[in-house]
Amino acid sequence: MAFLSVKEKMNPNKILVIITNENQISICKKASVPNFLFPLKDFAVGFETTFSLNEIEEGYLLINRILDTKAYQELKMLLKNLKDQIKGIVFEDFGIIKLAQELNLKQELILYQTHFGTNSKSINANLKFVDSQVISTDITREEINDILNAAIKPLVYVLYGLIPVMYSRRTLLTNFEETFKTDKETQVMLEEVVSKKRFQAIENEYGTILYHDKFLNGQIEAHTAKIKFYLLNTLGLSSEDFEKVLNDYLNQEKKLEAQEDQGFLETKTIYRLKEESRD
Amino acid sequence: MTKVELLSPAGDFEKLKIALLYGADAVYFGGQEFSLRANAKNFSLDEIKKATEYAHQRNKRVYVTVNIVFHESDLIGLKEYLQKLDEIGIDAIIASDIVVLELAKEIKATYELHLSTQSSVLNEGAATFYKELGVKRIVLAREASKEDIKQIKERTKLDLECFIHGAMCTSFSGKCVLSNYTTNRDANRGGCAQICRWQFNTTLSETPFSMTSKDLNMIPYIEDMIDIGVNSFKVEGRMRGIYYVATVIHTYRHLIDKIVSHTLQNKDVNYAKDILNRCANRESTPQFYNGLPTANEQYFLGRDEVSNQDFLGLVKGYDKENKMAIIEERNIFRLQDEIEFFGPNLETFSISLSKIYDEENTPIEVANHPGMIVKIPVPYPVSEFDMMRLKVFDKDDYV
Repeated sequence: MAFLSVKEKMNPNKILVIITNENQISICKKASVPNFLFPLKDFAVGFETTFSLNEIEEGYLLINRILDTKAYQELKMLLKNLKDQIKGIVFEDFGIIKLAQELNLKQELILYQTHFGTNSKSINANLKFVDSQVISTDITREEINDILNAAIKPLVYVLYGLIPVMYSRRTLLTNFEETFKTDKETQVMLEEVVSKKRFQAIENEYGTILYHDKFLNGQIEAHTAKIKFYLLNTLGLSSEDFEKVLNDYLNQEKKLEAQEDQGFLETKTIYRLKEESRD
Repeated sequence: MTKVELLSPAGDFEKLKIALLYGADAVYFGGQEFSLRANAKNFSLDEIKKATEYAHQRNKRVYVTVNIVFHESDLIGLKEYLQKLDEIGIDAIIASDIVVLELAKEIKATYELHLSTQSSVLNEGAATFYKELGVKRIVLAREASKEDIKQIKERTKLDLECFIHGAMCTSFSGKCVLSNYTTNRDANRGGCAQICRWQFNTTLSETPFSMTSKDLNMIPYIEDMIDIGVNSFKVEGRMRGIYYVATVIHTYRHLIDKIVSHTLQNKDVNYAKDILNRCANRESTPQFYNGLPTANEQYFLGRDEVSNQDFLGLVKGYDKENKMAIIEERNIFRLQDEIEFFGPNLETFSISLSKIYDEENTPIEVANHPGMIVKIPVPYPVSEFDMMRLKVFDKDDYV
């Protein structure tokens, strides 16, 4: 079963939007998109804006920190009184599965291990413990199709946005800025000297995330019940751009723009150097 | 005090022999399939069998890394491979992808399941999750602090393995695909091009941005780590040469033995630090153990490392009657050089090089061809696989 074969209008209920400013909520509501994912204050990295539980009326929590012992205990305290309006948790650290069991949480659990989730057997193994998993953005469209075809539960497909490329526990910008007495910035564009590839670095006290500077445009032509959500990351988008992107997808009119690319959807990575010559 | 394991990398069979000879209790290496460090020599199944037999004959253990992040097509042959490893009788696999753990259970493998550092475990919940999947040992994230290690040990009772020496990723291991985006080489399938060691332009400063980490070196905290229950002390470096493996393993072996026998002195620690820093050509620090690393744990403006030629030769034999050592040359040495011998069963000693003879017993002044065999007078017996290095530090200078 191919998921990219038949054209049909996208269901707004299937879009999950990472919220990076509050204006985006009204844009979503206007477009009848009801699912919001909030980077949780003190437990999310790679976002300049995060939200405390009090600030979140309804939606999903994004907890993408690797949790050390202290953070794990703090999160446990925080999740003890999770309100029903919190529909689910999208997370990186497997410790959260144990926390959810221990606290008897009713919320959905969606695993988002940024660079795992690259084959169907691993995803299906994880799905014994969680409600869904985000499919990796490091693989091709063909590999994604294989995963969707074999999945035992609906999965999350990254539809649009800046893609995390590296996660460091170090405060890389601060370390550089302190060494060279430069201005203090928490968001800096890095350009690799030789390849000229560019990465957006965003730091908070819990670490630094580097994003690819192009927005992934995971263009799709059709949809399958095997997809629970299409994930749309608003990071780096103005309100106007976000609204346009959202509506273009909803109306099946999204084109590939200059500031976008298709990540690895059409580009297979090299497993080993010897394959390079073989290919 | 808990019995602890010193675990060495073994990039090929020669390094495996050296590692075990110099005091490693166990070695880890990759097979030719499914292992990170895809461009290391790695071991065929026949070589894994040979390595396992060699290690087991010496009561040592063998762990095989099956630690790539699997794409759909990589799954072909994985189950059969895991079965073959079981037939060979290896002691454990080191894996991060849950599919490997599941398949190993499915085939009822008798080896232990060790969770790779690629899984970035830093808390008891994640550790417990993997324990319930059948994992016997967890290689903690290199970002683990003392408190993390202590809590996980106390609450899970799992075997814990911690890196104590070697190169560091700037990122959490496995949480980086810079290589994929820059070179199209898949970092999580062994193709890491170490982009984090490259330089970047920014608008912050005209000085290129750098995020390179200094190496890890846990010498000051080994005793502490033994006390909090770390079971295995792991050295990084499957791509490193025999001199590096020998020096690092030899140094940590001595330290651990002295800690266990309560004979460790400050001078031992200070001497060990100097030897290891010199051997790696890079500065090293404890990194995350006592808190978040700062700018001091990173390199800026390139690295200060200078490649040295300290490793002068490998001992091939010793003529007791004439007190002559037979040496295979590795780096240039000449008459009057101050040289030092160290080895698995040797108290390190130094001499001034008074004579050098080539294979025809002709006196020469310099040995300058890698691999050439020479003979030199050495007053104390040395053995095959002992090593000869330039004397840089004098142990007696340390107090």
